[in-house]
Amino acid sequence: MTNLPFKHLARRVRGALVICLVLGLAAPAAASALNVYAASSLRDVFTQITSSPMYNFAGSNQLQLQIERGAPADVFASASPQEARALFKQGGCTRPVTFATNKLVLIVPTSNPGSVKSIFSLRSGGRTLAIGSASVPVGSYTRALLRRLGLSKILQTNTVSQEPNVASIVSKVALGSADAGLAYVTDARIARDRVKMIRLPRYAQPPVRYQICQVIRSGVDAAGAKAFIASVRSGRGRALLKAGGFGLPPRR
Amino acid sequence: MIEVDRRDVLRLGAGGVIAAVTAGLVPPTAGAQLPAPTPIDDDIAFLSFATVAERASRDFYRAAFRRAKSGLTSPQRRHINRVASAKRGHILLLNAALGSDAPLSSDFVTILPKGAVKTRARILALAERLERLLVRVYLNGVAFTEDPATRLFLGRLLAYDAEQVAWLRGVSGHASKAGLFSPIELEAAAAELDAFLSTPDFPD
Repeated sequence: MTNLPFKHLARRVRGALVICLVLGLAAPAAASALNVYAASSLRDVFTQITSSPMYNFAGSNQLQLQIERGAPADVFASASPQEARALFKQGGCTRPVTFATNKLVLIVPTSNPGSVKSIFSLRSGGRTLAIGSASVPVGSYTRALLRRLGLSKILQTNTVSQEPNVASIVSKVALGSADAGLAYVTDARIARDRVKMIRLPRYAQPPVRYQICQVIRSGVDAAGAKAFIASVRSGRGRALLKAGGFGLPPRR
Repeated sequence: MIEVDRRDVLRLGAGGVIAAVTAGLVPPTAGAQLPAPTPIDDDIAFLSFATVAERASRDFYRAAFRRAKSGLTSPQRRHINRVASAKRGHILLLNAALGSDAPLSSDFVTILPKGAVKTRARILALAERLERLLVRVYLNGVAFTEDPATRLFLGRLLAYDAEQVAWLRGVSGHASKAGLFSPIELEAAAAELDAFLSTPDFPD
């Protein structure tokens, strides 16, 4: 009788020790994992370049805000220079460098229920359109493009859903919840079995530039961040970016 | 008689001033101040198109000027050079009107068709094609721009480029075409302009 509780206790202590050991071994690994905060349009290509870091993919403005509030990021890759530069100006990251470019395309579901033939088709109104919200890079690029085309009014004449990132725009269109959307060509390519791409006039294309920097904070994995940035800008990284449909800035 | 300020003459060169005054891009009197364009909403579209298309046209004129054995006479080459310089000035004005919406010079590269500046006939034909495109877009802009100062600016650019069309037709031996220019929608104009553009960091 008296042995039973002791045995039970011993088993519990042993179990606790095992858990502690496992946690103890795992903790340094988790602590040393590099934290990469990157624009959601980089999800596919970054995970191909290396799968080892802990990734946080979201809208660039959202990520910038998280880093400003002390999120444990080591690397920040934004879909426009604005966010990375803002962080740099505050002393929150090293000088950002451009590592990729992109383009906007109009996407429609493959069945094209809205009969959208070109961006100018949207002038007639009455369709549903998915675009990025004004605060995310894809949203501000979209608005710049529409201004250059003289089509800002289509945001009033069509039903517009404002999405927090480019992935939501593509999935809305792919699912048929929107007749059309404006997204990066790289994201449209990933969903090409479900969406059709319609080219936009070149003169109206805003320059979509991705920038990357190492976050400056106490406890940052500077060496890991530098190695990650170097791998993105390496020959292999550039080849994978190119294969993913991104444009490349000239080598410096 | 149009009066020309001496400083303008020194700044732009006599030929440039003559061209600019006749095109209405230099104020006729020294004190005349034209209102600065303050584009409203989609007025930006005409200015954005213009700055990219004028750049393509300037690049073409420059390439034509550099080609010494195209068959153009020296005065014709000099005229083309002056037009390229004037267009540079127009692009600066367009960019100033666009402010932060102005495309950067690194955003686009002009792609000229193969052999575009090889012969006199090709130069004159392509130059006219580009100028006519610009004139027709400016006509559309004059009709639909909301801001009066932007409309005036587009009108002045229209006058200048229409004069180049007349010069090109004169040099090529064609009498001025009877009839009027028709405005062109940006959709059609963009398709035409696309043939001359490439994005340097994002080749198609």
